[in-house]
Amino acid sequence: MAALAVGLPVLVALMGLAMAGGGLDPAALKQAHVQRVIVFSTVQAFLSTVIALVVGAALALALARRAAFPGRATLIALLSTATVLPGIVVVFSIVALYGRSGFVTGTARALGFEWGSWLYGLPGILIAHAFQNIPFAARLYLHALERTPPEHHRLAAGLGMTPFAIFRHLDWPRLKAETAGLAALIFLLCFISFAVVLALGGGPNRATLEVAIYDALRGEADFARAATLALLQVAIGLGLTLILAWRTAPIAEEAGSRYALLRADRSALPLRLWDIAVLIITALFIAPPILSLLSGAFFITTLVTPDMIRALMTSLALATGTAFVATLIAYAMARGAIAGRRVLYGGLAYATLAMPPFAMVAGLYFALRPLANVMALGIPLIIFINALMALPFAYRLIETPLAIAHQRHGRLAQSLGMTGRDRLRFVEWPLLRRPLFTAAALAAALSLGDFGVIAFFGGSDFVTLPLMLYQQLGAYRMDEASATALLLALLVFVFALGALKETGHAHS
Amino acid sequence: MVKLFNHVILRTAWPFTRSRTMLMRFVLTAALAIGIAAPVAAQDKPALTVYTYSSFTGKYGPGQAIKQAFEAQCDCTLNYMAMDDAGSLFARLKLEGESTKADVVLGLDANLAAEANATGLFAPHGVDPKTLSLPLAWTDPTLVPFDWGYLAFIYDETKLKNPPKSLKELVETANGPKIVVQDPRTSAPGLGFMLWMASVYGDKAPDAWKQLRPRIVTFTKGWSEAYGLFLKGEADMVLSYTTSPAYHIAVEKKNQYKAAPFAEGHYVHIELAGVTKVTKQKELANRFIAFMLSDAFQSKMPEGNFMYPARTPAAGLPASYADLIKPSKAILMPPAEVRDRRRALVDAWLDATAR
Amino acid sequence: MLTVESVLVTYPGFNGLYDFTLPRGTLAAVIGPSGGGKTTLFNALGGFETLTSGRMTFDGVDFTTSPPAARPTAMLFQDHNLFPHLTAIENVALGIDPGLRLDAAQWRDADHALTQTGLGGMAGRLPAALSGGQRQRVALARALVRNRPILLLDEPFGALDPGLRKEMIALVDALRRERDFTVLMSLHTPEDALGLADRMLFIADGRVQLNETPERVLHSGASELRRFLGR
Repeated sequence: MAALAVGLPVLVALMGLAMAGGGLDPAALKQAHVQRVIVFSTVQAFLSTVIALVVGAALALALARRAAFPGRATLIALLSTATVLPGIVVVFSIVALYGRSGFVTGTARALGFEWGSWLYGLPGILIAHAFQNIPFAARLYLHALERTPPEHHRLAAGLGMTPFAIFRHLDWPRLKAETAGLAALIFLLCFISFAVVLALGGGPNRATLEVAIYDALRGEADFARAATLALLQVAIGLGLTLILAWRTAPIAEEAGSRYALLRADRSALPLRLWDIAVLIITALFIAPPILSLLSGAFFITTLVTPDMIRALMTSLALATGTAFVATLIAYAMARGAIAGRRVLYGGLAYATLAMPPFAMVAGLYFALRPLANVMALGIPLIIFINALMALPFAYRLIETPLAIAHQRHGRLAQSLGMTGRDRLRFVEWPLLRRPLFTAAALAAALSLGDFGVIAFFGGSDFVTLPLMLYQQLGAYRMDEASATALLLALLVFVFALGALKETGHAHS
Repeated sequence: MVKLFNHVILRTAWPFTRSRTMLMRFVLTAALAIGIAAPVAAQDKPALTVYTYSSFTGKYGPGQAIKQAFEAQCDCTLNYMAMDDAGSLFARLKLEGESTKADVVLGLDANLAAEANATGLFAPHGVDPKTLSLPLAWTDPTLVPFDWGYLAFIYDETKLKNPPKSLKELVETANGPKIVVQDPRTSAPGLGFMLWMASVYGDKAPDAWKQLRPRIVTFTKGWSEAYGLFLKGEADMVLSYTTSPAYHIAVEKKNQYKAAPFAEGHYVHIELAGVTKVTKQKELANRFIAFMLSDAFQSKMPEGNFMYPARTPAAGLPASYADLIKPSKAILMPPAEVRDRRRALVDAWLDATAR
Repeated sequence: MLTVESVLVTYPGFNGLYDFTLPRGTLAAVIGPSGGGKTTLFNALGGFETLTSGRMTFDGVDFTTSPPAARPTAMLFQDHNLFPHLTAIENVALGIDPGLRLDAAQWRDADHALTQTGLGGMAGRLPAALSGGQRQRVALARALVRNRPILLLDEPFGALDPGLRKEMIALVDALRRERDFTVLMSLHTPEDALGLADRMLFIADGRVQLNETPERVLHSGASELRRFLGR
């Protein structure tokens, strides 16, 4: 059922595109440029993934070991903001720091270092992707580390384990169990990254397949070509997940615990220094581009107009709807995964991400044209497609805890004849509360930051915040745009912080 | 129609629904129900549907003022359907084909004209081209210009003292200014610049691209990214329009942004509108086209769209346009040639700029 | 001799004040209502609790402020005593060296400990492939190789069925006689300790209310105890 809700639209959209184009266009795949782009995308996505996973893990460990410093929740929420900012805002934030006239470059120049132009190309892409993905990786890893049974840390303390042994025997198995799914997601995100790669890549070879699909679809309305390239991208997304899903085994969990989680290695001095260094360095890397958005504060008064307030309300309504639908579908799919179709659902969640939203709308429109005017669906369609885009994140967050809840109490629930709402309430809720809230907040934030998939083909006369941002930029209103970007970032930040506080994450 | 869709989906895709999925079913049904309720607006007045792009109808575009002005004189309702940009507008038209709801399409550009005509969707406009104030002849029988502009490189004269005086100088000066341009695959000015290079350099365009390549900071997805990067100081010049300085003069009261005149002439970007063949409001649609070329509409172009009016209004151009450069020559690749060569030119550009 | 002198642990809404002694080699059953302070006592002894005041010594050596690993104690929990990705023998071996750097003789010691707890031949199994009772035997084997004179068992067999529970307590009893361990073991069902434990500590309201032989505790007329036992 959930598989149909998710898989069917992708399939129908692909078929629709192919129908509109009168078939597929295999020649598109043989083009030298397309092949170069695939090679480059693979390389940059691989490097971006490795950086995000390694730094994300270090950050998660530091946050797990330093569980109670002041401002911890604020820091986590601030970093999380990076994951969901619109691409164009990410580009401008990175440039504000590392660009030719950026803060870092300017400071270096003042100190007598002339770096020349180094940002555009692979470095710029990697920096932007690290900026976007490290916080998400850290969030997911942190959740995993905090699921360690508290007894293990007491045993480790009792046995006198060194910090390295604790890492090896307590943390590493948990990080490893998360890594495959997370790596697939981040790889795919970087593989399809569009505005960021194009703007910071410096040249058309530093592009992604998504650019070629976009070009085929609207540059020349060559639907056969678009369908072929989209099919290739979906196939890559699916293939990747299948390989990784095949390589992962979920961690075997035992029952819950009566103790509070106190890490055995929290007071080792060298580790404390290391963690402080990790926290400071990652914060110095990720926070300043976000804080650079504060420059928009000077123009925040320009936002107090009826249009802006309407855009804000529309965005919030869309975000709420998206959060609800995405979480619901992710939950339904995670339930399906428990029932033994883990690979299928994992693959589906990612296949939707690999399907470019604009190709999705176009394909659905054409395929369903005899039945209904898809574009006239307006808000529900936007919510559904935004939810599909947020699905892999939500699914990643929900799948593992749900599986654990069922390992712990699944049989008990079965024996008691618990189903549906009761099972959710008594069996799953305690473990799922935090991931569900995080997933909802993330989906909401993603949909806030999305520039409106539907805008691509129109069909709506309402304006969201990101759309407003684009219109401002398109109309030279850089100052007002900076204020809008700040407002967006603030909203996303508040969502993230809200989810943290709501679930007591900040204090655990 | 939507109701039908609702039923079909629920009947065909949902037969396995069990109680645990009731909630989801409810949500989807509710979502579809909103879809039914939303777009219906019962009115006796005739309605004209205009497909356009979102920056035209948006807060900063001229769209809303134009809607009011037209509705005041037509006793009708003007409804915009706004797409992302000209490319999306065209893609949607091509997808919809004969079943399009558009009466008027406003916002295609000259580079798409031949492909748009090839769809056979547009009816002849009957406007006498001689009455237009374009820098070159426009003879397309179905698509009529409503505004236009010259592409140009913009620079900040307080930072760049000696801007290149020709495209050749820009391309061939090894230590010349750094520029940021748009990707021809994703952006209209980007495509225009590629055609500009092809028009000036002919077969030698790939070599020219190779020569220019080291000084191109980056190719962005759209105009906004490129212009933003330029204003943030990432490049000395940015590809935009000769009219860009008018914004800085009119709104920001800043005079330091200039367009660099190029000796070879400047590529022209022409924005077009047309009436669809399938419209049931033919008379109204034609009245809109006439309105579009009237002063009421045209006077909104210079400081609403920051483009030149297709027919200069009686009051002339605003003061902010007084000091804009006036290119010696206008360049435009004929639309049919763009249609035939676009793919090959893009591929050649890709190969030339690949590092 | 284990001496717990005026050990005070305070939380908002709870304070535990413990004062008792146990002779070396004693098997003491700890009973009492949940929330009454049993686990707090175990945590204090194991080094997982910050004391407000008080002193703890064993055979005259003060371990009040020692880190958990440097104490004369080894602790067993009801669950999660084993690391799921390590085999039974590796879990035991952690008790010899927490970095798993063992020589051949030490690996033999670990294997011997498994045999002592009745798990000969199961060395290579992962915890997931062991029954609940077998997992606790692995944990006991680790406590044996740790060779600490005080064993703290916090409801270690609560999840096992009654027959197995008695069997495990008998195993603990046999091991402490052989090794002269002092054992504190909290229990859900006080009757399990009859005939094996030397002492029974009844803890309620954060205090050790009774510290007697099991028979005398179970037959004392203290009202809190009667309420706890449901009599």
